[in-house]
Amino acid sequence: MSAAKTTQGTPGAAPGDTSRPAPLLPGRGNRSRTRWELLALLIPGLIGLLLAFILPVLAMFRMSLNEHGTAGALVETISIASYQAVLSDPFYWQVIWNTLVMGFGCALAAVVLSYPLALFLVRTTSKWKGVLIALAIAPLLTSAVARTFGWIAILGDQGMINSVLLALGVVETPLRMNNNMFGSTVALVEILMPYSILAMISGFGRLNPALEEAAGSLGASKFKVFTKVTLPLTLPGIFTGFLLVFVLAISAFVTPRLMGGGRVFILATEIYNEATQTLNWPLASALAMILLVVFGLFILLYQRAVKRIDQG
Amino acid sequence: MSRTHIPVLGAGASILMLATACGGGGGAADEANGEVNILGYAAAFEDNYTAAVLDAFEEETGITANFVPAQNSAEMLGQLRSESGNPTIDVVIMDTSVANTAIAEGLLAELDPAEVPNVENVVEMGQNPDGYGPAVTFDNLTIIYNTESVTEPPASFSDLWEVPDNSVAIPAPPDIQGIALTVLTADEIGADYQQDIQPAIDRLAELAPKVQTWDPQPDSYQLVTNDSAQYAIAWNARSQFFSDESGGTLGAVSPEDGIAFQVNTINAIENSPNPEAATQFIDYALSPEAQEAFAAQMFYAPTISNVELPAEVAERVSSPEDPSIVEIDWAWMADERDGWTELWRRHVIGG
Repeated sequence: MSAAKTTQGTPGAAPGDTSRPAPLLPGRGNRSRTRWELLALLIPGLIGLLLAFILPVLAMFRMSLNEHGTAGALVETISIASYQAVLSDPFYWQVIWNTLVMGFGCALAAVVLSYPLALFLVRTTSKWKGVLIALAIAPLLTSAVARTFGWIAILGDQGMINSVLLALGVVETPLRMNNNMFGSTVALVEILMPYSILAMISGFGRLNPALEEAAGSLGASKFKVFTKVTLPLTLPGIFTGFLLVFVLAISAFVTPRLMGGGRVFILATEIYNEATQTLNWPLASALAMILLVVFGLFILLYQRAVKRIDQG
Repeated sequence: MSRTHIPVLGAGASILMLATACGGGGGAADEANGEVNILGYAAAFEDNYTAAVLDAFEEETGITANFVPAQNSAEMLGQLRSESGNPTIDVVIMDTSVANTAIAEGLLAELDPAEVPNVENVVEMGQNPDGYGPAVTFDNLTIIYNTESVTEPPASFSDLWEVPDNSVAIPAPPDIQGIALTVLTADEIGADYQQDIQPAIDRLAELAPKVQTWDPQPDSYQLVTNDSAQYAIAWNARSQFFSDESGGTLGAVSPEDGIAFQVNTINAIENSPNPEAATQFIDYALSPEAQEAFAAQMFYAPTISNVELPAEVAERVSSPEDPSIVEIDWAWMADERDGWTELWRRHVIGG
C-alpha cells in the first residue's frame, strides 16, 4: 500500500517532504498576464482550427441548405429539403444503422484484440520495449490503401485463405470473404488496431502492478485480480481506444469502398456517391452533417462514461 | 484521469480533420498568350489524347496546349464550380450528362458556328440543340472476359445470365455503366425505360448471384485481366486499349443485343482566359485528322461524319450509324439517376 500512497504524493517530491511545490502562477498581478500569454499561445492553433475545420464545416452546412435542381444543377437557396429527404427515407436510416453497426463491430474487435497487446507493452520490462511498441504501430507507416489491397489478396476468391481451403478440399467453391461487410470489417479492424493500441497504452496510466500484487497476496485468484483490479483500472484506456476506433471506422471510406464490392452502404460511401456520381452536393453535405452529429453524440457519451469512471 | 485522454482525443480529432480535408485544387497555367488549358480524364485518356491530338495541335498552331487531368466528370464539374468567378480552364471534355448540369449552372459557353466550322460535321446524335459544345468522342458499353479462363466467350449481354456464379463485375448505378445496362436490359425485354423500369430491374435481380462485385476496384479491366473476375461490363475504348496492353488476356465482345453509347462533349468555359485558343482547339478536336488519330490511338468512336477510319480500327469501334444503337436520353436520365440507383440497391444488389 505504501507504493499506492507514494503515487498520490506530489510527483518528484521525496517521501516526507512537506514543502509545497512552486506555484505555477506566481503573484496575483502576474496571473492575468500569464493567462493572456497562455491565450496568445492558443491563437495559432485556433486560427488553424478555424481555417481547416470550422469554416469548411460552415461551408458544408450552407451547402446542405441548397437544393438539387433539374439536370443536377445546384440551386442556391435556404431549404431543409436534403435533411427531409435523408430522414424520411428508410434507406438512409438503414445506411446510418449500417454505419453504426460497422463502427461498433470494428471498435469492439479492435479493442478485444489490442487489449492484451497494449497490456503486455505497458507491463514489459524488456529492454526491447521501445522496439516492441514501434513494431505494434509500424503498420501506420504503410498507406491504408496498400493494406486494404493486401487484405484483398488475402480474403479474395483467389486469395491466400481460399487457395489453402480449396487445396485442402475443405471447401468446393471459394468462401465469399471479400466484396461484403465481413471483408471490410476485418480489414478495418487490422488497419485501426495500431490506433487502439496507442490509445490504450496512453490510457493505462492508473494501472499499478503493486495493486495487482497486493490483491494477489491477499488471496485473490488471477481471474479475480483481473476482473476486480486490472480491468477497472484500464477501463479509461479501453474507452479511449474504443472511441478512437469507432470514430475512425464510421468515417472510413477507402476500405469499405475497396472491399465492400458495392454491397456496403455506409455514410462515407453514400457521401462519395452523392458528391461525385449523382452530383447531389446538398444531399452529400446533409449526410456529412449527420455524420458529424453522430460523432458529436458519441464523444459526448464517451465523456460522460469517463466522468462516471473517474467519480466511481 | 480524464486529462490523460485529452491528448489522445486531440490526436484523434486531428486525424479526423486531416482525413476529411482531402480536397485538392488543380493548378493550371495562368492567363498567357498562345495557350489553352484543357480539362479532361486522367491516366490513359490523358496520355493518348495528348499524343494523338494535343501534340499535333501544338505543332499545327504554335499554341501551347496543357492537359489538366481529373478522375471523372464530377471532379471536373467541381473544379469548374470552384473557379467559376475566375476560371483557369478554357476547354473541358466531359460526359454529356454532367455537361448538361454545367450548362444549367452557366459554367459553359455557347459556341459560335462561324468560329468552329467543324461542328457542322458532327453527326446528329452528337449535336447540342442549344449551341453548346458537341460530342467529341463516342464510346459504347461492351462485355470483357478473361481469354485464358473463359472457353466460351459471351456474345451478348443476355449471356451474362448464364455464366457461373460470382464471376461477373458490374459497376452498379449511380455509375453510368450500370445505368446503360439497365436501359439495354429494358430494351431486350421490350420495355420502354422512360415509362416503366421495374421489369428491367426484376430481370437484373436474377443476375445478382452471378455478380462478384458491384463496384469493381481498381476497375473492371484490372479484375478481368488478373482473372479475379472472369467477366465484366466495361467501355469499349478502354477494353480495346487494355486488350492490347494485356497482350490479349483481356478479350472484348461487341454485344449482339444492343449498343448503348456514352457521349463525351467538348465545351468552352464561360469567361475562360483564352477564348480564341479555346475555339481553335475545339475546332481542331473535331477535325478529321484529330478524330481519326484518337480513334486509332484509343478506339473512341469519331463523332463526325467526314472521317474514314482504317479498316483495322473501324472494326474495333462502334459507328454512330449502327442500327442496333439503343438511344439513351442522358438529360432525362440526370433527374432519374437517384431513383434508379435506389431501385438497384433495394431490388438488385440487396435482392
